Amino acid sequence: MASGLSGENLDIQAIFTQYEDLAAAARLYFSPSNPDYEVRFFSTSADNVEKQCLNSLNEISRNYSLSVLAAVEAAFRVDYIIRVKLRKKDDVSRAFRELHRRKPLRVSLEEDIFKTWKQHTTVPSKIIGDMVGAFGFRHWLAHGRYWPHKLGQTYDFFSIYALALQLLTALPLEA
Amino acid sequence: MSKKEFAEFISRQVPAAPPEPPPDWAAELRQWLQHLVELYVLVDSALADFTAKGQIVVEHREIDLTEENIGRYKAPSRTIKFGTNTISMVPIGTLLIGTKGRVDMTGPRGVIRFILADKSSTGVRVTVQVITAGVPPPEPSAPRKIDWEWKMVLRNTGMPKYQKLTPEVFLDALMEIANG
Repeated sequence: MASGLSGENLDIQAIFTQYEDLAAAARLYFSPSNPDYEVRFFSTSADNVEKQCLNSLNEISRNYSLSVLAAVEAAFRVDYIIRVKLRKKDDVSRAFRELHRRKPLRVSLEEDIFKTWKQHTTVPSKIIGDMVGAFGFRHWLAHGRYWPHKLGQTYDFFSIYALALQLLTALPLEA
Repeated sequence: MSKKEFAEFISRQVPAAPPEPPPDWAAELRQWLQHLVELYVLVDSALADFTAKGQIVVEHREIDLTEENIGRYKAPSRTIKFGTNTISMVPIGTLLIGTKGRVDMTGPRGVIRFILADKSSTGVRVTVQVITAGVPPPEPSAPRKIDWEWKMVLRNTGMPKYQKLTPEVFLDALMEIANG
């Protein structure tokens, strides 16, 4: 592992499993199979319990969407650091070294790293565009959702996970 | 530059593509609701024998959805009850990445996702090549009209794979997420 890397970045398939486990636990909690159901939801209508369950699942979806997008950022930044250090000869690595020379302190994921991958590979522009849009959603979540977002899409955990998996599987990222 | 060279230069210029018309969000919503009707027709036909005998009860409900550009709207959902099982089919939305719409079916033993995908598609597949200097990149394939069809997302796979949704596939999915 290159120095300066923690090795603690998560794999998105592990995040998917954690999400599925937590969502299943929430569904069980809000179902009559929960041994404490009668006590916890005493005098609550079944419709109201269902509404609480949907709210809970929505929050789990949003929190794990943040985790997936953080993992995507980590995967691209780790690849960037390794390519800059290894001095490989391919066009992406060369472009990253040039980028590092121009911006030694902090490169932007959306403006610099994604753009380089778009310029030097055949990755479909739509996938990169969708991922940039998803990072707009992450920005909105991470900063407290206090403004009405204008992202033009409906985001949830599964759609973000499927997009992340496509991108991370298709690109030859160094790890 | 001679006039002839200039004429050749002009003849090589590709006219700018006409701007795409803005999306018709009302039409998007109509199409999505129509696709939901098609899904529930398939579900009703799959369950018809059992609902006729009173072994399965299907409740027709509506949920409120809000999507950017479309706004707030009501979408039909279904609750399927049999034995001790309550299975809900909840529309997620139409402006999702990579699909025209999705409905999640949730039961005590998990979630099955139904998506609108291209009729010819069996899953997500992206191939990427690194472009080498001096070698022209392959031409991108021309966009084509997508024929949307309901498909089931297969579980326990890495990259999502789809299976055409038929009444038989639906019944298998129902058994998979139900107790008993």
